[in-house]
Amino acid sequence: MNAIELDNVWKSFGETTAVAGLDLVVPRGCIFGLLGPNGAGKTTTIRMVMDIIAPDRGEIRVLGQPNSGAILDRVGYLPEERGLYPKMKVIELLELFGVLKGLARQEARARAADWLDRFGLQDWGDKKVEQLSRGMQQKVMFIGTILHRPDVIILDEPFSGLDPISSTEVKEIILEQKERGATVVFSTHLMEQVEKLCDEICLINEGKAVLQGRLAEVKSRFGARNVLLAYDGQPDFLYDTSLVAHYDDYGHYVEIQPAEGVSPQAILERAVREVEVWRFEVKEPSLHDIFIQVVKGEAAREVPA
Amino acid sequence: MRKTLALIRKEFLQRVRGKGFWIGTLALPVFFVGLSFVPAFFMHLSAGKESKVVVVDLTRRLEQVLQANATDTRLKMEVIPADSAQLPTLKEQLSRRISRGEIDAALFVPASATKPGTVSLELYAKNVSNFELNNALKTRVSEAVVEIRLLDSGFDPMLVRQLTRGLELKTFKVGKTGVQQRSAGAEFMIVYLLVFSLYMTLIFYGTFVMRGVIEEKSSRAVETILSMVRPSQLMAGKILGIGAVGLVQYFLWLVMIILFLVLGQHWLQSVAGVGGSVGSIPAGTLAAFVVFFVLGYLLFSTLWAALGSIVNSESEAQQLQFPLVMLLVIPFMAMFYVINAPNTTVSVVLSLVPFFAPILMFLRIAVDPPALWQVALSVVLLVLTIWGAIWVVGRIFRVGILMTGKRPTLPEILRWLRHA
Repeated sequence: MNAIELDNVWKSFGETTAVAGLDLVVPRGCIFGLLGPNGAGKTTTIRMVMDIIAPDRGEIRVLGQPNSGAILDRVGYLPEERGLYPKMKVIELLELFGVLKGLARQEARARAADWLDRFGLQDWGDKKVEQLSRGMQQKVMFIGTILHRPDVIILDEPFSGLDPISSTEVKEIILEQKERGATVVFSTHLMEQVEKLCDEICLINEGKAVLQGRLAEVKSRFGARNVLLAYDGQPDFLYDTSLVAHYDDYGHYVEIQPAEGVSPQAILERAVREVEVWRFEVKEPSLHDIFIQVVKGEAAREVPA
Repeated sequence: MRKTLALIRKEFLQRVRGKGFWIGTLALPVFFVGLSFVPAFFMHLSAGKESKVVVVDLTRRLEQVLQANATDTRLKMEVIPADSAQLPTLKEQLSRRISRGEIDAALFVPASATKPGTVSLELYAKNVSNFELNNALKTRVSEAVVEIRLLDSGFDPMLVRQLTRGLELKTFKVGKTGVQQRSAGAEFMIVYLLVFSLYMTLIFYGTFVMRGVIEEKSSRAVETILSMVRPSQLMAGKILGIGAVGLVQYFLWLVMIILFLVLGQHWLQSVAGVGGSVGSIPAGTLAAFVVFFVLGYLLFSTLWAALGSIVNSESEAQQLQFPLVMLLVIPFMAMFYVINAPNTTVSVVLSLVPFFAPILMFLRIAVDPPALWQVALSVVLLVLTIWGAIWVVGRIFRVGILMTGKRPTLPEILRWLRHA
């Protein structure tokens, strides 16, 4: 049973299509990165999973069941737009969140107190939310998201607006939740976080999934490791399509994507014969490159020939 | 259900704990008491003051009659019989005494006063707008002059007074449980107060709900909350939580009124003259008040919740509130017609219109209980309207609550209704 499944889900707002036939599978127990440029439809997708907005078409299942009512109590959600009731006391707010997610009042309060302790906020429970600093409020939001020990945790842009220390704390929470057996889904456009944390990814562009799978698989699929070359001379070998699939020449510097089955070593051999090589480097494809490559490829495909 | 209860609890506690609730609860009765007793209080203050007046009597016949009729000890009258020849000197003398403050006024009664016809008295005073003194003087001297005129014409003043006395009107209310003597003024006051408080509190709590929804939007907590509860639960929590605050406030006011009546009844009766009758509101009227307050509150707070969900700020809401407030102003205006003619076709139809029913059907019940089927029909129509409003508003709310930025146009809202 998967944590989240989307089948051909559509959603438009007026003239704009935000999600266009999205298929998505999030297996249980992994850390899942939902990637995509701004406006790709990440937040709309997440809101539909949380039943905050309804899809126009398509089916959404959470933990094997339609995403409504009680099953959503087993999900914890941190929206990108993070706001708390400023006039409420911290402990009462967390208690309310716990109860709204199905905990008993006593239980919610006890757990909230534990978490406040852990984050060094034990003296702030009786303060009003508006008296807390922004950083402290972020922590309270996180506590609210995981207080009821959800099986699935969805974080929309959890790293945006965080200082490095808070960023590290968030990363630790995510890992700890995975350890506990929870599935963590987060959306982001920051590729470094994804590469360090995620087991699985899905890249969304213009409301569709353009790339999906285990991170390692994705990397090997786009595995043609690129060659970086600084040189002087006339690099005729670049036009040899049996050797070079794609290149990006700057005059004295070129990025080369080798043709299939061609090793970086073979390219170096040819290059040495034709030009003076100043620097040679084999580069692992970063998710960033894959991201740009796929998104650009998508865009290119849509330009009528 | 558990979630809705938790939200109701939150809304309720948050407001009841706030200073605003207690200030409002205490301020309103103080305001009303002030409004009705401040004028009476000042009248009372001024009433204790003694006025000295010199009456210059050119008829030379008033002194005896005036002194014999003197009942008001706060009005001291010195009567000087005089000839018209003395008039200029007297006017000068008395004017000086007035400006020195020795006397408050001087009244000149012309010689023709005891003859039939219209005669003017002349009053000299520093302050000519003391209505109380002016009226007392005019009445006293007029009475004396009339008495002399009657005697001159051979009538017995006492007999004439008895013969020309007007009739009094006693009002009896015919109700289901029997006939009760009620004073028309007090009856009107009570009904007016009840309808007025319905009108005020429906607007007051409606805007309260709207403000709550706007706060929810601007705190940006709404998305987090909506991941935990359905929009309908959020809306229900707001409306019922704030409604509970309203009922508690009413209850506190009721306790205050009862305390006030028990402790201050004597004073109330002597000063305002309405004391005893306030306690005699029939139980049926009170029950109708509660029913129509609750139903009216549910209807109007739902509409106000929708308004709150489609605007971004209170100032934006101000302009859009107008049609909603009109739905309450119209029946309030119609009240004066309905109170005079509670059973005409116009009154019956108006009181059945669901938006007007909370005020007008209640008013009719208080004034002259209509046929039971009419009451039942209005309640049924009202409940159906509330149900429909919740259905429609729930859809507007669901989309509107997440919107920020541009306010939606009417066609857009209609599209939400079709698609949501």
